[in-house]
Formats: sequence, structure tokens, C-alpha cells
Amino acid sequence: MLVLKDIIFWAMYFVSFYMSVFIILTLFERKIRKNPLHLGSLPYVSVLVPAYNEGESIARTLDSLLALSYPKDKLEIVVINDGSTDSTKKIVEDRYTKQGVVLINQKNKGKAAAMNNGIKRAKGELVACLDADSFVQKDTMKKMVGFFADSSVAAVTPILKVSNPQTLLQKAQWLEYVLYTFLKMILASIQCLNVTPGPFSIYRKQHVINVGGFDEASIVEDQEIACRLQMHHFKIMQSIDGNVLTIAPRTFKELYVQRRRWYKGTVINLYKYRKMLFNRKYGDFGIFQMPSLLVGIIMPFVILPLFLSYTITPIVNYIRHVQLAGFDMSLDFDFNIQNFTTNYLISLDYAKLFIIVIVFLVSVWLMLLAHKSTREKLAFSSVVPLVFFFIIYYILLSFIWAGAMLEFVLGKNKKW
Amino acid sequence: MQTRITSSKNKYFAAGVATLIVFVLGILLGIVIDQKKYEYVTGLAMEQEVEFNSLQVQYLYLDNIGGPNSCKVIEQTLENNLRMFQPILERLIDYEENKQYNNEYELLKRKYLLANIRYDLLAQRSKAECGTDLVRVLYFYNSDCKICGDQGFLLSNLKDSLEDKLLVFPIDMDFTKEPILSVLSTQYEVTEFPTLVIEDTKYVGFQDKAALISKICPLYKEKTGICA
Repeated sequence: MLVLKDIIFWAMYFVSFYMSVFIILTLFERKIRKNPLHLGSLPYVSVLVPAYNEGESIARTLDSLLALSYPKDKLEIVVINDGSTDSTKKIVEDRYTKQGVVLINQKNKGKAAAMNNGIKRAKGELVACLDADSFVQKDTMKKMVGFFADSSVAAVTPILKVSNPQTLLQKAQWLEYVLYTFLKMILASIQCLNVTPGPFSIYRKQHVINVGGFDEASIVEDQEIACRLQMHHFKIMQSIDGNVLTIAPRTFKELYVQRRRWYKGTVINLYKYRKMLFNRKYGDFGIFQMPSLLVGIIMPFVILPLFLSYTITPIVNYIRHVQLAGFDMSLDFDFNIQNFTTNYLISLDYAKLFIIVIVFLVSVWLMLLAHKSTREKLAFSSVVPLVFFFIIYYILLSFIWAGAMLEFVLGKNKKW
Repeated sequence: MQTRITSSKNKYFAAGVATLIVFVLGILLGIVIDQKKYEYVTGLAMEQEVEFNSLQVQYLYLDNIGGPNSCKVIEQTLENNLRMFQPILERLIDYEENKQYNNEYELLKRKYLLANIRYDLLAQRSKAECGTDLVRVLYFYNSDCKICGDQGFLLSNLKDSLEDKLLVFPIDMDFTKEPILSVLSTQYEVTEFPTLVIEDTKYVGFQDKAALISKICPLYKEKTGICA
């Protein structure tokens, strides 16, 4: 058991470290394209806003779109009301149609169907998608469209940031998004993006139509379309300064609901596009990114048992011992600190410790670089969220992975 | 359609080499530190052996010379040495938990086990000849016994309270290389684990805290700690 645990430990850290080194080498090898190519003139963009019962946030979303610093004659805003039963339709009709916002009503068919419906009616050569719980900054679109000067670019994804993080969980997600955006900048340089997030990814309409539009059966249409575009050898770029704010889950329950959909979608996509896995025909996407997704699926199931065996088991044992001792443990604190320290130092496994410290330092370094790249500052107040992020957050995500996969295996699909 | 840019094989290779270097460094560091740890623990065992030899010579000397104060001196010496012995015991156990078995380690453990038994013999003599107020517990365990961890914990817990008046001698019955173990297990007919021998009375099976107290406390002349 001890040997198996050791093998798993070493394998996990070896793979994680290998992937980190590969990303770092890519960072230094290829220059991240900071400024998109210059377009002769700004393209016509249709922003599609699929909305299902978004009465609470649709007004703020549309206000942020109307405030975009983009020529009005080259911008179309289309709300696709996906059979909402709340005030969504009324808000758009009453306040926004007179400002030029187009409203399309459809029966509730899901986001992908709404997007396809919007694409059919869209006038723009580019279509942007904006979830109704996200908000764009004024200059975001201008900063993103330049990438389309390269005709093989099919999609550009923005920098996603968590809007006004309040809870510790939201702050951890804020850090996660910063790190993730930075990694995406690097991965984009080797065409390894596997998702075009719902909040304000911009697509070249014709390319999306050419590959068959959004998959209406998919629960993660933004991951699915990205994989399909990759399969057709189109480029997906990561903007480095076009910001979009999104509302992150406040509680663990909300996070669980969001992530289990993403995670299940990742598994389905990986299976659907399994022929790209380790396939050199798809370049680094096949050789590095798809295997990374596979590792990402396996990793939580390695982290969780290790975490439980290293932390929870001793705690449970301690509690049992306290009970056995009749809650008379006070004398245990009367120990000799020097002996305790010596015993502790002797009992450490220094080879493991060395690797853990190196992996941790690399993670911290990447986090610092990520902040620099996304022009965010690390304040003193970030210390607690950082500690939470590095020590607890991924354990929480592992629990979500395990729960999501368990539901998946047991066939509890209805809630997705 | 575009032509894909694929990273060179060199980068995949370089990442592999860099990763290997870091891991090899880590493993080498582990080996070097393990060696240092072994040297340290060996030093402790030697220290313990010298202490024991010193104690034994003092004991023999006092035994031969006799005299009105000999018991007082014996008890004092035993007490001083037990204080030294306990931390070494803890360190060895910690070392044991994290160490893969090898020949050097087995020798070390054998040394420790013998020292443990010699200490017990010495304690018996001290008790018989000087009436020292202490209780000896031989604790037989093996790795198949799941509840033994709890039994060991309870004995430590009692020792925390009774301090040097309770002498616990843990005996790992998995360690078949030492002949004295079969002598002990035959003498006390140990077949199940945990088995406790409290002052020559054998108790088979797990003993909870109340049971331990009821068996140990009456054996003291002066009641202290949890027995008070």
C-alpha cells in the first residue's frame, strides 16, 4: 500500500511538473502576440446574447454592450430569448428594442440552439457571444477584433475576470481565472485552446457555419465548438487585454453546479474527439493539450485519496484516540519541543518534500507572471485567498470532480 | 485552412530532461539525507548502548560492593537512564515508520530490541532487590493487528500520566530475526495480538483505558498521576 501510494505520488508530480516545464519552455520560446494584427477597417460584429430567465442581469449586460466604444454602424446586438418565463422578454422589449437591440424569441431549446438561431439572423461577419450574466468593458471588442486579420483565426477569447469578488471562494476563482488566462495566452501561441468561453468569445461566422454551427446536443457548447474548430485546423486566439467580467459562484453549492457541467462536458468532449488524442496530425493540440485534459480528469482521483490518506486519516485517528483516552489528552501537550522537532525532522521524507517545494515554487512563479501579464496587482489582502487557492481550492475542485463523475457513472444526468 | 504549428520534438524532450533532472536531484537529496538520518539514529543507538553498559557496570559494582545506600543509587541511576532512554525510543519509532527495511536498519532494530529487553531485566532486579515502585508492561504486537495502534496509543497515554513509574516495552513480533523474541513468546505463550504482560500476568486482546487502569494502578505502593 505504501509502495503504491509512493508510485502514485511520484507519477502525479512527474506528470504535473512535466506539463509545467513544457508550458514554461513555450512561454520563453514563443513570444505571446500582445498586439493583434492591424485590420484595415473594423469588421461588422453581431453580439448574440442568449438569455433564459436572465431578468435580473440582462439590463446590466445590455447596458455594457451599448456602451461599447465600437462604431454603432458596425455593431448589432441580438438577444435570443430562449423561452424565458421571467421578465427577460419584457425588459428587452420595453427598454432596449428602441435602442436598436434585436429581440428574437424562441421556444426553450438551450443555449447552443439560441446561438445557431442568432447566427442565422446575424448580419456581422463576426459574431460575439455574451452570456447574460457577464459584462464587457468599453474597449474590449476593439482590442479583440484585430486578431481576425489572420484569415485562419476562427475565434478569439477574452480575458475573463471575476466581477467584484466578495467571498473567499470568489476570490480563489478570481486567482484561478488570472492564472488560467495567462496559461491560455501561452497555449494559444501553440494553438492549444480547447474552450471559447461563453462570456464574449468572438467567432468568424463563416468558419462556425462551415464546421456545422454549435452542437445543440452538447452541455458545454463552448468547449465542443472549440474542439471542432481545432479539429478543422482553425486558430483560436487569446486576447491579452480585452476584459470581460463574469459573476462567479458565491458558494460551494453554486460552484458545484457550475463545475459539474464543465467537467462532465470535458469528459464527453474528450471522448467525442478521442481521435485527436496523441495524434500528431493535430499538432500540439493532439500531443499536449488533449493528453493534458485527460490528466486533468485523472488527477482529482489521485489527489483525493492522497489528500484523505495524508490529512483526514490522521485527524480521524486522533479523534478516535481522544475518545479512547477518555478525552484526557491534556498531558500530550506536555512534550519536549526539542524532542518533538527532532522526531519530526527525522520522520520527513526529504525527496518528496523537495519535489513538492519545487512544484509549489513553480506554481507561485507562474501565478506572479500571470498577474503581470494580466496587469493585475497582488496586494497584501491577496495572501489569504492565495493560501486558500494553493492549499484548499484544488482539493475542493477534486471533490467536485469526484461527485460529478459519480453522478455521471450512476446516470444522474437530469440536473446537468 | 491553416498549417498547424507543432512544437519541435526538442521541446518535448527538453521538458522531459528538465523534469528528470529535478526528480533525480530530489531523489539524490532524499538518499543523502536518509544516510544522515541513519547515521544520526545509529549514533543514538550507540549512545543508548554506552548508557546501558554504564548502568550495568554501576549496577554490578553496587551489587558486589553492597552497602546501605546501594538501592538508592540504583534507583537514581535507573531513573536517570530511563529519562534518556524514552526520547531515543520515540526517535527510533519515528524513524521506523518512515523507513524501508534494509539490513542496516534490521541490525539497528535488533540492537534496540535487545537493549529494551536488558532494560526490562534491570528493572525487574531493581524492583525485586530494592522494591522500586514501578510497573513493567511487555507489549506484544505485530503489523497484522489493526487495533494494536490504538493499544500502543493508550499505553503511551498512560505513560504520559504515570511517567517513569510505568515502563512499557513494545515488542514487535514481526521481527523474526531476533531469537530472544521466540524465547519471550514461548515463555508467555503469546499467540494473539495485542498481548500485554503486566508484571508477569498475561492479558490477551485489546485493553481499554479503564481496564488498563484497573490492572496497573493497584500494583503501585504510592498512587500518583492517573492512579491517584
